[in-house]
Amino acid sequence: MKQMPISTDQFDAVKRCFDAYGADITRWPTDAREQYGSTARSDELADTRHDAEALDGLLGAATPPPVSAELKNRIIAQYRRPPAVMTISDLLADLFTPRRFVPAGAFAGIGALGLVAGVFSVNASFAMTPEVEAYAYVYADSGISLDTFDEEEAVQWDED
Amino acid sequence: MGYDNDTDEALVRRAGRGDRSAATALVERHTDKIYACCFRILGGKPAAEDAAQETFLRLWKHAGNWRPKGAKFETWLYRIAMNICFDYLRKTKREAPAEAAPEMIDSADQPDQALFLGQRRFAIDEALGKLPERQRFAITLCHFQEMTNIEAAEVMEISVDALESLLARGRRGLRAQLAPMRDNLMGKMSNETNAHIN
Repeated sequence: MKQMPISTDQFDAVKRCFDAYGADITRWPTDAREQYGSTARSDELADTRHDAEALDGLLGAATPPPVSAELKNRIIAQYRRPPAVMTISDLLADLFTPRRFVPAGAFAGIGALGLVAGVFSVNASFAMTPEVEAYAYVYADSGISLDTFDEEEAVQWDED
Repeated sequence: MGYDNDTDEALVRRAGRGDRSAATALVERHTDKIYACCFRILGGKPAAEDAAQETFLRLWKHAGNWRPKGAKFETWLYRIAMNICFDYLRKTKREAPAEAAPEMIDSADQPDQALFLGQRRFAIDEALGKLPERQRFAITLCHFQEMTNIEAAEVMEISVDALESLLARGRRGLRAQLAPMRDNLMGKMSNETNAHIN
């Protein structure tokens, strides 16, 4: 298949990638890989590519000695619990953490429930105004109890 | 207790609260990479071990107050290692990598190949050691540590363009230094490859 000629800009861009990142295009930045991946294989760039491959090969062949277990043990041995230093932001963050509000919230909730219960109990009892006291006296004498008065029964009685 | 699924950030926070097993997990996860990086920069095993140890010592010191601040934990750790290496290089002359070469010669049944491997590594370490510090560091991060250009630029606190420039100049320097022995080294590498194939 005949290759398309490469523009000067493309040539320079691909050469820059070879020079900086080597011949392995998986090491190239993603955008360069997408843009110049196919151009990188062109014959015009063969020399640059071979030079880059040669250097990659040499670098890849130089492996550092493995880490000794002793070094890891030394590093772990020097671990100490770091001193906790509290900054103002930490202090504020800690102060306003939800868990801090749980006891206070529970206490406030119990107080509010008590208040509501108190209000209901006051409303439930009759206020002994003079009028109420007078009605109570009348009904008590007539033998009619307000507690046992049934409106429906009263209506039926009227109809009969 | 396994920490395989925990992020570095979570482990640092735990280590900062005194969790030794989280600290151990961080050591297991990162020592190899940090040591390899220090070895590339400093060129000698004792110096690289000291630098890796110092890097973690600073990590333990700051773990209690560590905040991501936009950077990945690994970026931050490499930055510490880089600063320690630069300090070390400023204080001392770079150690001759000659001491590293014999470590490769451990194959008694193939003395020629072992000798060749030792020589090759010596040559490459020496060439790396002659590069300016920042070029060496850029190549170490991008080529050996396999970081992306963005990650490496973050570690070095430079722009991606500046990193690319360091990489290109560094590789050019290496090519120039290794050119006289390239054919020899490459020839032997080709022989090795053929031997593997056959």
